[in-house]
Amino acid sequence: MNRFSSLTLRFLLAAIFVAPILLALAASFRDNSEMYRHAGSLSFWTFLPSEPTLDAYRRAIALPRLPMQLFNTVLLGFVMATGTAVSSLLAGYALSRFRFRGREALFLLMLFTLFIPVDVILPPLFFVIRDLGLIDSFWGLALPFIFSPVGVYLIRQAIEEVPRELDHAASLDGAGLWEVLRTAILPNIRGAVIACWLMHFVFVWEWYLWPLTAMRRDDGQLAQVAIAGLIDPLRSTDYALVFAAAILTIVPAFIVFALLQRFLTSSQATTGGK
Amino acid sequence: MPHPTAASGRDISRRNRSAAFLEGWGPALVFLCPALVMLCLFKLWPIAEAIHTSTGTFDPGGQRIDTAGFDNFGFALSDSRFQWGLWLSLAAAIVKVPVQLALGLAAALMLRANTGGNALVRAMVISPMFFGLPVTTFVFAYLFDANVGAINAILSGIGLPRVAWLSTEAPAQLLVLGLSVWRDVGVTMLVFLAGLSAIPPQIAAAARLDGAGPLALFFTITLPLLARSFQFAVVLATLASFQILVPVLMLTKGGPTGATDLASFQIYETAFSYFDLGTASSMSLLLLVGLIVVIALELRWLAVKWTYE
Repeated sequence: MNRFSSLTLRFLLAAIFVAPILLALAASFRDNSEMYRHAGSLSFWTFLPSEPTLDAYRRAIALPRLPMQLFNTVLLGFVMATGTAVSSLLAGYALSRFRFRGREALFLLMLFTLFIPVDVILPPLFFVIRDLGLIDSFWGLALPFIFSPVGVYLIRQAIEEVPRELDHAASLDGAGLWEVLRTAILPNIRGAVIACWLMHFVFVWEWYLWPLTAMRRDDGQLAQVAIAGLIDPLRSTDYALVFAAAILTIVPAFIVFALLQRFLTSSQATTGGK
Repeated sequence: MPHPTAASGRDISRRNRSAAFLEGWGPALVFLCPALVMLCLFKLWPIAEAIHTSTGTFDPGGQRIDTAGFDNFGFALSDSRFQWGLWLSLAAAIVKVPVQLALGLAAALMLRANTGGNALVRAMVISPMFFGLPVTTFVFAYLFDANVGAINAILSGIGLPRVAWLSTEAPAQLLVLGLSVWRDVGVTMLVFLAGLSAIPPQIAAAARLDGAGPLALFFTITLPLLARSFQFAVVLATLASFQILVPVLMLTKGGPTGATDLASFQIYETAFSYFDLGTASSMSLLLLVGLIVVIALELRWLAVKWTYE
């Protein structure tokens, strides 16, 4: 009995988090009139398509700007993830291995910027980007978020774990600062760098406020922001189209995540050189 | 073994103070450069910009026409709508943080053992994070849709009245906060799972030998030893509670009748609908200071002094 109830609790917990997503997935295979027809009463067909159709996907692909906007999201993901990984790697190296006045203070200042949410600082950030002339441009979207305190923290901690003897040995062999980073440190923190990259790649799909504010051209907009425009909460929304387009939007994130996630765990095994 | 950059600056510092102040920065700067430039341009400059704009008045085209001193702050603070917005933002934190912590802790305790089934359920609990905030907001918009939403279908199916979720006050607040908790509870769970795995099993074993029951074990051993995770989870949840603008902007637009008229939503409207840059910047600064004060208080109240060693 105890075992049964603990299983039921786990099942309920999982259902609370997965059911809404599955429901949305099911909605993307529906036809709107069919959805509204079954909405009035509670039945199996309130949740599932009675006549599954790919019509919504066909209409989503036919949305004139969606392919371009999806490309924008993916490209922004690659640019931001790569920029963040590189800037975090270099800064983490300097903050871990170099000795200079105010090092800890600088690191704390970087971490402190975590407490400045975009929601709160949106207007002044907009003014800065406007002054730089980057409103409505791809770089206006990307540049403000290429520095990430989380990335710097992650990489610095990983470099701290690498034994210093390794870089001493490399520098005795005549390696300069760059070679030390490339040959002694980078191979040992590959997992952390990939984690940092992946985290910031997926992070682009979180975005709504900044592109909504800083990008007013339709063909430069991100897919998820454009899809949000299809929702009209107080009147009837074409949910099948919304979810078909949303699912097309998150497919690239899932593919990249699936391809890279094995590096996240396997790299831990290769750091065992202590 | 001397590291190339680890030259000691001790004796130099006595001779030349300003040179010592910059000691070691030369090579470090090359590597720090990209991060430092971004930090200054996009994290520190906006704050300076906010301070600068908050002391001016602007015409609707964005041109500074006059200096206003602290008038913008006075105007924002005496505005009853902004007072309500600040209160709502604080109330969101007061509701979200304890609920999310309780649920996250319960989930962590339940899924603590490392079994395959538990790993699967854990993955499901954190899955909303992978879809991104805009998409999860679409999902909730559909789930709680007044006409086709599953929630209303279930309510009417079991004989309860249907709810107009987005056009009634308390339900709209519940929807926005519920989305936020649903999305973030996985993070809290992960923090507590990490804290639980750090507790040495000998401590619990010793307490059990002394005759502690499961409840006593939880309240006298587990909970106190999770203090550090608590502190971290509270700060993370508080930060997230100040970031619930997306569903408000997408679905409720601050309504109905001001029920979700958060301070951050008013900042957005003041800047991008009314083009009142001075007031918007002073509101941004006020909310930022409020957030930092709340987090500082939490860090103080939840300060942990012990270590395992």
